[in-house]
Amino acid sequence: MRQRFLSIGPLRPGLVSIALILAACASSNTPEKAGGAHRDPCTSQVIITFTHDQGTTPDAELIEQIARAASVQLSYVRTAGPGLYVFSLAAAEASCEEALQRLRRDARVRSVDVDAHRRVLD
Amino acid sequence: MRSSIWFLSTAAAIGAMAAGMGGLPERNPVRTHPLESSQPQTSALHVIIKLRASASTSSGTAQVQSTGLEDAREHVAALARRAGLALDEHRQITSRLHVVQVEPLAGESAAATLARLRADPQVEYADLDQMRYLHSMTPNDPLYVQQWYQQAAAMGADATPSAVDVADAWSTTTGSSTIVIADIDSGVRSDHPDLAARLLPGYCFITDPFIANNSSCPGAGASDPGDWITSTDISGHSSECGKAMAGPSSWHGTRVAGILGALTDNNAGIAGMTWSAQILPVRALGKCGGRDSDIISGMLWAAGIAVSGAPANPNPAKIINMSLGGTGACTSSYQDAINQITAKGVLIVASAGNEGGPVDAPGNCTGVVGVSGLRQAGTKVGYSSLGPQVALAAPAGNCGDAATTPESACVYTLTTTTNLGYHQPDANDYTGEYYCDPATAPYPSCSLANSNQYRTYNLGTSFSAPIVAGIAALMTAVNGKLNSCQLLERLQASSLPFPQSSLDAATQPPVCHVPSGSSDLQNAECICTNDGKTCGAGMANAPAALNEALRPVAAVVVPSKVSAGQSISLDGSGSAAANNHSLSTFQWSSASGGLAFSIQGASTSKATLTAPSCGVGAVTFTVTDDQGRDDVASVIITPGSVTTTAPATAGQGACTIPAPAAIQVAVCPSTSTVQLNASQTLTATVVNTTNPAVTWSVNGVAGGNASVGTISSAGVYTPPASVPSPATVTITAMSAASPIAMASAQVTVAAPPKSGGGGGGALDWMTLLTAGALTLAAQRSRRAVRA
Repeated sequence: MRQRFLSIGPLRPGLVSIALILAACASSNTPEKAGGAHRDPCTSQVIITFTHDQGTTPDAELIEQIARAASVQLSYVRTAGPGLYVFSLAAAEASCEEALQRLRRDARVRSVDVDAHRRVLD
Repeated sequence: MRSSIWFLSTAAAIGAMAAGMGGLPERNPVRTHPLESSQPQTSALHVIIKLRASASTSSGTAQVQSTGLEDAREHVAALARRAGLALDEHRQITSRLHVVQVEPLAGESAAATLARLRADPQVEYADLDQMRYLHSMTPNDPLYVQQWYQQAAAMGADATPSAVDVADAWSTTTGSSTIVIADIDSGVRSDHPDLAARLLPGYCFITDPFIANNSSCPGAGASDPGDWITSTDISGHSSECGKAMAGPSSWHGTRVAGILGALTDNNAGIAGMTWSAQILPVRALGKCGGRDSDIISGMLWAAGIAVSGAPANPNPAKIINMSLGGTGACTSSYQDAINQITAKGVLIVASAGNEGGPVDAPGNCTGVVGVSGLRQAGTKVGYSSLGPQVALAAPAGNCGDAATTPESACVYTLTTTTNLGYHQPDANDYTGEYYCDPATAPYPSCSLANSNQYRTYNLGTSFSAPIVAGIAALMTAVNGKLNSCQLLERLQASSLPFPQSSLDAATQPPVCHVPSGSSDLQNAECICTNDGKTCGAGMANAPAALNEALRPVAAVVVPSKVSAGQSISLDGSGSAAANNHSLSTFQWSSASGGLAFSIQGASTSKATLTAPSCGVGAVTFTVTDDQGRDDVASVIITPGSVTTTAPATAGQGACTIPAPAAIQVAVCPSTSTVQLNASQTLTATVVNTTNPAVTWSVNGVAGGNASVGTISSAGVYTPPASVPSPATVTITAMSAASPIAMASAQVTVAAPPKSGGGGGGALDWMTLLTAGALTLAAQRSRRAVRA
């Protein structure tokens, strides 16, 4: 299972590239692009918790299904702790917020947070 | 030195005694005189003697109470003679209580001399007149004089009402070496001489090599290599350093660790809040900060929860300090991790933030002790964030109005341990000292003799949090049965009210308000409100917190299922007293306002009562320890449920933050039928409030009216002149204490049966049948709702 999992996500550059190129082409006529300014697709590191226990590493097939349903690419990075999984997220749109919302609407996903940056408080 | 040796040997003896008794080893450094030593006494003995009310003298029986001073002196002198002692001095306290100084027999111990005095038939008791000492500890750390925040609140022009007075608390406990406090931060300088002996081997969870500053992360060890930021760092790592400014290393984790627990009474540096706890450094931040996922991994690991890729933590923390954060709401992932950690009974203390706006995450997460920052005057220091998520407040440091230039004195800095390295580590030292700018004296040639120096002041809510975490460690040292929820509740309960004026300002600052949003900043001093909505419940106070911690913990096991009329067993035997104390009494009683229960075994740890058929009641369970300190738990009982927020067993790790007990109302009887010419009395019971009053309404009309009937303030319902339509009315009792707490009953109005029959009888019976059907329908409806 783990081997199969590792064969998807970040190790499918072809699929990611095609998806991103298609998405970029599809959105090339949107008003945001009308001005000619180039906007990179969104990438972010996120922490995801799932409705059902995923154990040490999340189920690869489940992740693939969730990613496809939300039109995003999810690459497993590591497990931060019990039930807390870190992924790198890529989506065609410039802002990741809509991609995050699509993921959050999936019943199999309990929560998605940006892996935000914190600072010491002196 | 002599006093240190004496202190250490005494502490060791007390520690050994505690260990022998099986409790947590506690070190109490309060000086005590050796009691009735068996060693030969070489100097005069001071003894307090109480004579019996009817004392025999050599000349016969006499009433001591009636004698004058000379007679009393003679009684005592005669007593000394009988005991073979030379009486040096005598002082009378009362007619029967005397203080004497006697010369013991050569080679005799104090204990033997006392035994001979006590054997005299005239003596009720004889005790050594011992030396006693102030219950206050002043450590010999030379920088302790600067640590105003640890001392008793100063009075007068330089008053420091926000000082937490941990010096007083140290007379009760200086902490326990079995307690581990995790410092999730930038790492700690493991070679700092005022910290090294307190540090456990830590772990680094940073996964980004840039943030880790090329140290071996993730991996074992949590020493801080420095977190300086250059302009190149900012331009080359915009995602991490986008909001950062170039600057020197902060040595932040080292500074936090010093507040938590620098080595104390070691004739060096500063005093820590706790003298004994072990500090577990967990490095999750570095250059430009740190990622949530690394911080969360560090939190979980610190609490003893397995984290993939990291070895098991052999020293799980009881308290986690997090002097870090970022703007925004508490994220689901933080809350998930926090729930896992608090379920193990581990307390998380976090800084509120330094933006003067809403509380940062994770300080704003449920179950976290968020700590806001105070000026010495007890007002909110301008930079401290605030809001209803704050649990309580503690000093954060402020430089006063005079500190407008870098070199001016910063009187109210929070002095702590640090390193003087501008970039890489240099000499370990303390804040308030100077460091060198590498532009004029680059590392390693930087020295304190350099002319271009800057003072390292220590300010921020980062340092309010470890003050509170340190107090929590002392609380845990005296009562190991407290879980994180109880620690949080008792920290808040023991906090002091905020002063409602500022000592500093020529014109009074405004009152703090709840931030309306992220852009609503209160960057200047403001007066904290005492409603718990801005700076927390109050100002942290260490001795008051220990008093709260020393109270026992009431625990109750309730049955999971109950039905009306069934016998209910309530088991409070899982309650416990604080360390080295025992429970003396148990008491179960019906709370006012609700149903009154007949309780069997009301003065034992296990009580029995009968579930009511209608209404709601509360049973109060009070446990009292051998010092008269108590704790109270409440059990709410209805016909179908028995609930409590108390733990099943004291010391049980898992806990949930209890919401304020909701007011509950019940109306009895829940269904009834009343004839037109009669009345129906309804009873409302209210629990979880001291105000049992209710207001009554009929079909939503307060007090009712002529169409639906009326109800008095005493709950007496009088039907209207004719049967209403529909015939069943809803009578509601609403708590006067809370408009959302209410309960209803259904009353069906029926015409009275006519005697002798008649044309109208059929109609009347039809009405009654209809009313009965409606009542049944209403009952079915309620059941359906329950289902």
